Amino acid sequence: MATRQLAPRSVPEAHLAPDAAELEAQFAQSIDLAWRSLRRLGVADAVLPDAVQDVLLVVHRRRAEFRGEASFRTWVYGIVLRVASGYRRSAGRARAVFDPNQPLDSDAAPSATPSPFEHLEQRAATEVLHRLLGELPDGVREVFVLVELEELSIEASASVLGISAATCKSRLRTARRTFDAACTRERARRERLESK
Amino acid sequence: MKPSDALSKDARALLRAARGGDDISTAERQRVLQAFQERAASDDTVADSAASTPRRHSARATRSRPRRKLPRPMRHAAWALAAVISTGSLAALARDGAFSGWRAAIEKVLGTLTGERSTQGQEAAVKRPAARRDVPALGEPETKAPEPAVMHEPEPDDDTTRPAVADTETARLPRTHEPADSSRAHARAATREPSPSRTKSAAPDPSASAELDLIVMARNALAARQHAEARAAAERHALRFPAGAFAEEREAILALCACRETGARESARAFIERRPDSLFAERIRRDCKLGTNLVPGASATGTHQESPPRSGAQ
Repeated sequence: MATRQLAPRSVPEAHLAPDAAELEAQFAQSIDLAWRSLRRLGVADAVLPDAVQDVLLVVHRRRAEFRGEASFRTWVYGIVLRVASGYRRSAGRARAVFDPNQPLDSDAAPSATPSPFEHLEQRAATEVLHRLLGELPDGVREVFVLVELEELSIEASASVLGISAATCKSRLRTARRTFDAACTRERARRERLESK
Repeated sequence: MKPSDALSKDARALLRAARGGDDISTAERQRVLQAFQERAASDDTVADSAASTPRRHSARATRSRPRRKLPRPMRHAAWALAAVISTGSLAALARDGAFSGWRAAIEKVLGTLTGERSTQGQEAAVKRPAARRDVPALGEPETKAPEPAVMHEPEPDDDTTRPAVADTETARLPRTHEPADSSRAHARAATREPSPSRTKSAAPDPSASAELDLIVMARNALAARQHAEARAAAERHALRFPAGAFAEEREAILALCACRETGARESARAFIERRPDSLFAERIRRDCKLGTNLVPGASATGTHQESPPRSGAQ
């Protein structure tokens, strides 16, 4: 088949305007999305409800600006990221420092034995996840959360972050490698503990 | 994104184990709603701390705009929201986790709003070729916020839209395009609500045409590899019709978008786990390169070979 393009056009706004049910659903979605992403972006549990409120307030106030030209979800992510970075800044840098010079040993031959993470119970795994995410530099962490955890597209993530798609792809590769390396270290840590 | 760029086994195992661990609980969501109701009621007086945070990104949502009042309809919505919450609709939330009470109240208050749009929808719908409405049980052109714009476009993929529209009842069969379903672990907001269909009457369901519009939009975009548009349409469908007739297809579309764009295959895997015998499963397995070893037992070999997307809507 010949390549087709959907004609890029701005759809008349009336046709995209949400009805009451959709507004309601968008609001609910914002809550869920903000809650889980803020946690993963390093907002402490103690202030999480406040951070979610901040997101909702911005969504609520700026809802009229959102014209539906892209995904509502993507738009909300932008708000979430900004709120998260604000909270992180005020919380101070109390996390492990990532050493960019440290060789990323995730390219080592993968272990044949099942991953110790498989049998982690959800809450424990979530704690580990947060800790490992905390080892990532902010920009890399954000890309990881958006693409790997929230499954946004490269384009959407790039627009949320205000970077080019190429930069986003490159950051994603770094994010994956870095996260893999963190997992490998964590796994080694666990195995050392268990073997004691 | 090549699959080789995807995560290591350990990383994937960790993500799988942690899945859902950050989701908000129903109780917590109620608390959030209640707190927000108080804030929304005093909208103008609450400091917008988020907006004044120094910006790091230039994303659309962070552009500073002169603060202005919400347009009237939105303001009505905000008050309706606050009013509804304070009248105890949270009880309804707690009971069935759905927003049915909320929705009913909002719809009432926003009656004029949707009425305006319905009018516009009707005008646009009238322009639609009659053939597009050739679907049983869709007697009326009127819908809430339909997307007739899609129908107006010179549809490049004829083979995807015509059979799709003419065949809505069996539209779940994959045609030459590849709509697919995936249950997205992260779309819990949509799947968690047992959202009742908007009209429970026996009359032709006007929301069905709106649902179809969204799905067709998503399908076409997917076939044209316009993944951003496909996602946008599919996500809208997830919001409005979380358990709609085309939910499976929508989830498949979302899974395919994720795989193709970034190689992220969690939702694809989740879809296959939940619906190994789905008509879209074969497509997803192939496009997402999942192989058959992830599906224990039964449907190790695709059981539905009648969908020959060989003419490759790629």
